[in-house]
Amino acid sequence: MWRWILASVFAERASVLASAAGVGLALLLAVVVEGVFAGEAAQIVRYLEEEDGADLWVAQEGVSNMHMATSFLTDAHADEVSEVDGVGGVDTILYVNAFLGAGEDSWFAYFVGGGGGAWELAAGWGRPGPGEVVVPDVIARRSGVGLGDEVDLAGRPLKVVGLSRGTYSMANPVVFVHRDDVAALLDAVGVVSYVLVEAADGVDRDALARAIEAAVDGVNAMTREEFVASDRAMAMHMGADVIALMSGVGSTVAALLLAFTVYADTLRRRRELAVTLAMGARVSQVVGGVVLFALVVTGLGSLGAIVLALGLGPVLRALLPEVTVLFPVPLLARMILLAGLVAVAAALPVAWRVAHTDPAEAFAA
Amino acid sequence: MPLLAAHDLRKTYGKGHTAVHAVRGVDLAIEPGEIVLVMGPSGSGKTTLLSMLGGLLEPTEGSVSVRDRDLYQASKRERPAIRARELGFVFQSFNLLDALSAEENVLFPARLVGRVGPAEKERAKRLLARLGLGERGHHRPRDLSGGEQQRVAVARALMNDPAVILADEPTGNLDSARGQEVMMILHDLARDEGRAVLIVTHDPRAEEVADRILWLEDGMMRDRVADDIRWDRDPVCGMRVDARRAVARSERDGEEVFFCSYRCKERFDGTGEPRPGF
Repeated sequence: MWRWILASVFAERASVLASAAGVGLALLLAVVVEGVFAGEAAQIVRYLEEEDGADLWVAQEGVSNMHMATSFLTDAHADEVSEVDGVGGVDTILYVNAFLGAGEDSWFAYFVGGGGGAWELAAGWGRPGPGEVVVPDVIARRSGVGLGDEVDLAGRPLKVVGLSRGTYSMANPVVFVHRDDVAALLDAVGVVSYVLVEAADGVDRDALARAIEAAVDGVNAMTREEFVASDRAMAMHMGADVIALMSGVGSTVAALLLAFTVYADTLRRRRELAVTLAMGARVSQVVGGVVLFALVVTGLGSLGAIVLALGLGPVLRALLPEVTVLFPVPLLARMILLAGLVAVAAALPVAWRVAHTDPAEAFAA
Repeated sequence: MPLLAAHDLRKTYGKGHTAVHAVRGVDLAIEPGEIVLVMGPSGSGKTTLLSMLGGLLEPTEGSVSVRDRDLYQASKRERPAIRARELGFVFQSFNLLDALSAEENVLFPARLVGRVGPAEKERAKRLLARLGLGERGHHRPRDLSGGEQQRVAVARALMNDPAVILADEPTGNLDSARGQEVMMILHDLARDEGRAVLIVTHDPRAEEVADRILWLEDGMMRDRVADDIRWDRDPVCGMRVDARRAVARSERDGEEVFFCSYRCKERFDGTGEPRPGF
């Protein structure tokens, strides 16, 4: 039976490929949406991953994120942390969510004061002094600002001294300023947001985090990996509804296309199915054939969607540098699994109909 | 022992006032090597009868047995396997699977019963060769003529070596010569191999090869009304011919002779004269 089904697929290449293309495009819609969110989530945590010398992040007790969170500690906390055994060194950052005025535009951004600054530059330098700023190159290009131009942070003029790469995301582009500028904006002298801890050589980071929490009151210490995972989860959680909606739309369109394809094919093949039943095929064999056909069409569609998605990535990056699209393997694997489920779901109503095909139809002239 | 037998076979569609009695009490027994024709007007219940005999349509009453095994006493799960092994079907519209080659079509019934090895492939080739299609095995149905397609269908029906061949209007979509050819193949299957062949047809030419002709009317078997058939014999192939409807005739020693086909007449005359209209 499977030979016949596969032969049918190859015998009617044009119609099968058209169906597979429809299914593939619907799946592509879902996978691109998820890819954009995956890319965005990756960008949101990029700063946390790239910040030099931050093996552990120490925040105010109860805070376990940077994204959509506020943490207030003091320089005294930083001093106490630096005295814990196993700590190799500490740095601090102070950050604020605010609008960046650049040219005619306003950008909601995370202003980070202190720390290592930009890790990759398009131009200029990455560690701004007082009154200076390093902005993402995407923002600079979109707003028409360059080195030496002036932008403003909540009304405070800052001079652009660097253009950074890899710091832009749609949700929270990261802008680097001097810590004093953030402190002045917040009127918060001696206050820090996070203490960045470098572990001494050979020290277990989990144990060090527990030791810091035990030694310093009112702090939450996390390894970089924990902190990144927590922030990514937060970012994905915020987009989960939209992802679910778009995935649902894509999957539903794919399921409808697939159901229509399988249904039309089965109707067209009704006489042949009746003939096979008359000749002694079991209903289960014929139903299995229908499901196999659906899976083959879906497989071709999925393959096309994956190839197209992977090809689309560089094109999107070139055309829309502000959008980061990622297609990690788990995402693609999930899409293939989803497509398989869609195929079976689409085939089942048709299979039910096939199961009720009258083999005596084979005698119809 | 008959290879195919039906006893008091009945099929009623609907109930009460709207009940339609499609087949009413048919008894039938076909012995090995026998060819039985079922004829009758449209709507007489021929297809319903054929479907029941083929194990495709459960009768309202009565029984059907193949090699003494009651088809409808077998469970619904067993019936497809019985059909695949014991019954060969030949349809009016050939009903080959378009996506498969002629050879794969012939092998299809073997695949249904799960036994395809070199022996089965060899058998499929032999069957095609025997039916004059040895060189056409790799062609798809759309590349074959109607006659060739029907011969592939016959080969397919024979693949699992069934005891019974059920043919539904096997010449219905064929021209005269091809129809004749297919009827002769069915004739040989019964005579040479001892199969039981039941043919449902409107085609009077099929009567030439039949051992018995059953007339189905209003769902019941009847004796055929005495009609104006005048049997004669084709002097070339020896086939029975209805003299009143013969497609070709000639004269010998002042007497009229009748032929089953123009081909036989051409051979008889030795002239090769063209057919009318050609």
